[in-house]
Amino acid sequence: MTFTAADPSPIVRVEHLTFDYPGRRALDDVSFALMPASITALVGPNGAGKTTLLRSVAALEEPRCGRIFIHGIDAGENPREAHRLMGYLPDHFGLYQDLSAQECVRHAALSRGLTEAEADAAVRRTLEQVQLTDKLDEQAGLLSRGQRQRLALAQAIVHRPRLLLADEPASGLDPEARAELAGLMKALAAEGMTILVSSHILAELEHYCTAMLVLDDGHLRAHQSLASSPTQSSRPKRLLRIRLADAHDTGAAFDLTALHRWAQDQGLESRLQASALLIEGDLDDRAQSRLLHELVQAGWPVLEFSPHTRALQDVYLDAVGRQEQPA
Amino acid sequence: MSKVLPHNPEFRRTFKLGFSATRLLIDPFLIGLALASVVYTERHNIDLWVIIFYAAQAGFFFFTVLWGSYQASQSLVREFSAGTWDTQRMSALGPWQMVWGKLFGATFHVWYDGAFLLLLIFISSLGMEEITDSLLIVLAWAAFAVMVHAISMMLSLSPRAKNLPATGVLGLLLCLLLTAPSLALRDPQTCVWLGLEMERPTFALLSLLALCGWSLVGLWQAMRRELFERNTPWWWLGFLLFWLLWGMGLLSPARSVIEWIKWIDYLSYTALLAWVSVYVQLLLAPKDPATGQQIFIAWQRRDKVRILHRLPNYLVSVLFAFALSLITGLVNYLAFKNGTIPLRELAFTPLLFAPFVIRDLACVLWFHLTPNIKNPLGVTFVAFLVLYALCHALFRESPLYFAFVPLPLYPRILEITVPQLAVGILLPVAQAILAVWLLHGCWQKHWAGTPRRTP
Repeated sequence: MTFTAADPSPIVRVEHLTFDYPGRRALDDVSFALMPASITALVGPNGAGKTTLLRSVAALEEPRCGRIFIHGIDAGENPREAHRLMGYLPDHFGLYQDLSAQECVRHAALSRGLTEAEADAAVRRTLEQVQLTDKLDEQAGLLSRGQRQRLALAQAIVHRPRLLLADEPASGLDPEARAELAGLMKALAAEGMTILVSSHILAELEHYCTAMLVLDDGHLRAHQSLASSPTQSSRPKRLLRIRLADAHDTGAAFDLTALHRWAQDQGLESRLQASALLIEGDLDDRAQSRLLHELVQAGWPVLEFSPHTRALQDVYLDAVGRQEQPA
Repeated sequence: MSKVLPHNPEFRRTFKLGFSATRLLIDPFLIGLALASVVYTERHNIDLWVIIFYAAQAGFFFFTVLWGSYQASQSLVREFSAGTWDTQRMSALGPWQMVWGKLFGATFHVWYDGAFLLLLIFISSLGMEEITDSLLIVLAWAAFAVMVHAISMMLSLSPRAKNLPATGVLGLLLCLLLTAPSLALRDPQTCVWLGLEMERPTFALLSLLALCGWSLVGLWQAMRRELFERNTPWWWLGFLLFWLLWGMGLLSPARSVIEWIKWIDYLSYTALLAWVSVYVQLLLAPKDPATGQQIFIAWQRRDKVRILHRLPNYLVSVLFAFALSLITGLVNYLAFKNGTIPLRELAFTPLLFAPFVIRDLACVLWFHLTPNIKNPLGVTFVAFLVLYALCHALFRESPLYFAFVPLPLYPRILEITVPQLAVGILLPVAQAILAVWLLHGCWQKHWAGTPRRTP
C-alpha cells in the first residue's frame, strides 16, 4: 500500500465517541483528528480509557455513540473496510507461540489478503525492518520479550497499513529495546504511516512522538502537538527555566514562590516545577536578555537561566492540571 | 469459498499446528493395533466383520466426533486465550474462509484417522448390508461428525464460552436435541413425516444432512458476527421454519379424530417448538447492553435497517412464536363456529406460553444487565430451578400450582376448571409484568441515562 504523507486531510477522525462499561462510562464525548504521518502518544493514568479508545478506533468494540472515520471510511458502519487500512498491536502481542517468526508474519500477510508473491516480499522486507532476519525459524514462544514485541509489530505492519495502533508497546522492554522501538516508530512515520501509541509511561514516548492525546477518566483533556511535530500549526511558546541559589543562603524573600509571584506581577506566565520556575511566553533573545537583567537588578540570586524543552511531562501536567506523573 | 482449502491461510496454519509426518505414519498403525486388541479380547464368537463394524463405529464416535468437537472448539478457545482473535477479526479473511479453515484445519488429524475408520465401517458393513446402505452409513457418520464439530465451534463463538466442558456438554445436548426425534421413531423400518411414509434410514440421513447444513449456516452466521459483517435475522427465521416443519412432521397428535383438529394440533405443537426455540437462542446470543443501546438509538432514529442488523435472534423467535400462537388461537376459535369453545381448548392455546417466556426472557436479561451480578448464567440456572422445580413441587396441591406451569403442559388438562384457568392466565401475566418492570428499572438505572463516571 502506498501513502501520501502530504495528504492534508486527517487519517483518523473521531467524533463524540462515548463508550460505556457496566456501571461506568469509559469514554465521554471524545473527539479528535490525527494527521497523516504523525506519531501521537495516547497518555493517561491506568483506567483512563486508553485501551478502550484504541479498540474503538480499531473497530474492535462498538461504542455507545459517536463516529470514527479512518481515511474517510466510517469504521462503525464498514469495519471490514476500515480494518484493511489498519494494523493493531495489542499489549499482549497476540502471537502464535508454536509458529516460527517467519510463519507468524507470513500468516499475517496472507490473512491480510496479500498474494503468495506479495507475501514473500512483504515478509522479507518487514522482518528486515524489525531486525529479526536472524530469528526466522525460531518459534515465537522462544523469543525474548523484545524480540516478540518486534515480531508482533511486524505482524501488524506487514500489509503496510496507513494507521498503526499500538497498545503499550514498550511495556516491560529494557532500555535498549525501547530505543530500537523508538527508531522503528520514527522510520514507519517517515514512510508515511500514522501511529497512535498508548502508554502510561511518558518517558518512553518522549523520543518519537509528535503529538499527544491526554485522556483522563474517559475525558480528552488535551490534544497537543509537541515542539518537533511536523504537523504543528503554530510556533510554540518558549520556555525558560530559572533556578535560584538555596533560600537559606539568600533569605526567604528570595525563594521560588516569591519569584513566581514576582513573575506574575511582571505579567509573565509562570509555574513552579520541582526546584525551578518555568516561564512561558513569546520570549525572543532580546526579551530573554532583558528579563535576566531585571532579575539580577532586583537582587534575585539566579543560579540557572536556560531555555527549556517542552517535555511530554509538561504537556501532560498542563492538561491534567496536577503535579503528578501518571502512575 | 473464494480460496480453495489448501490456499486458505487459516487452514494452513491450523493444519500445520495439528498434523505432522509422525502422525501420518503412526496413526494407521495405532488404529490397527486398537482393532486387533478388540478382536483378540472378544470371547463371544461373534463374526469378525461384525466386531470390526461396531468397533470402528465406536472409534469414529469417540475419536472423530467427540475428540474432533473438542479440537474444533479449542481452535477458537486457544485464540481467545492467546489474544490472537482480535488480529484474526481484523484480517481480510471472510467468514466462510474462516469456517472452512478452522473446521477442517483444526480437525484434519481426526479426519485423517476418521477416514480409516469410515473405510473400515464401509468394508465391514458390506457383509451385512447392501452397498448403497453401507455408503449411507458412512455418509451419515461423516455428516454427524461435521454437524457436531460445527455446533461445537458455534457454541465456542456464540457466548464467548471459554469454559470448554460447558461448551462440550451444550454441544452434545444440542446434537441430541436435534437428532433425538429421528432416533426415537417407533417403527424400526419406516416412518411417517407429514403424512409421507419413507424408510427410516433414508429419513434419518436426509435429516442429518439438513441439520448438518444448518449447523454450518449457523457457524457461518456466528463467524459473520465476529468478523463484523452485518447480519439480518432472515437466516434464523429460515432455520425456525425448517425446524418447525421438520418437528411438526414427526408429531402424531393423539386427538386427530377429525382432520381439522389434527391441523390445529399440528399448529399448536409447532408454536410450542417456536417458544422452545426462544430459550435455545437466548442461551446462545450475547446479552450485552451495547446491543440494547444500539437498538434503542436506531429506534430513536427510525433506522429500520440498523434495527434489523442488531435485532437479537431470540426476539425474532419471540415474535415468530407469538404470531404462530395467535394464528393457532384464531384457527381454533374459527373452528368452533357456534362460539362455544371447550374449556380445554382455551387451556391448550399456545398463547399461554407467552407470559412464561416473556417472564423468563426478562429475568435472564435482568441478570445479565445488572452490573453486580458476576455470574448471570449461574443465577439464571438457580432462578429456573426455583421457578420450574421448587415452586412446582411446593404448590403441587395448591391453586398456585397453575402460576408456575404453563397450562398446555398440565397433564390433566381435560379436567381443567374455570378458577384454575383464571389462575393459569392471570398469575403468569402478573409475573411477566413484574419481570419486565424489573428489567426496565435496571435498564433505566444502569444503561439508559448517563452512568456514573468513576470506576
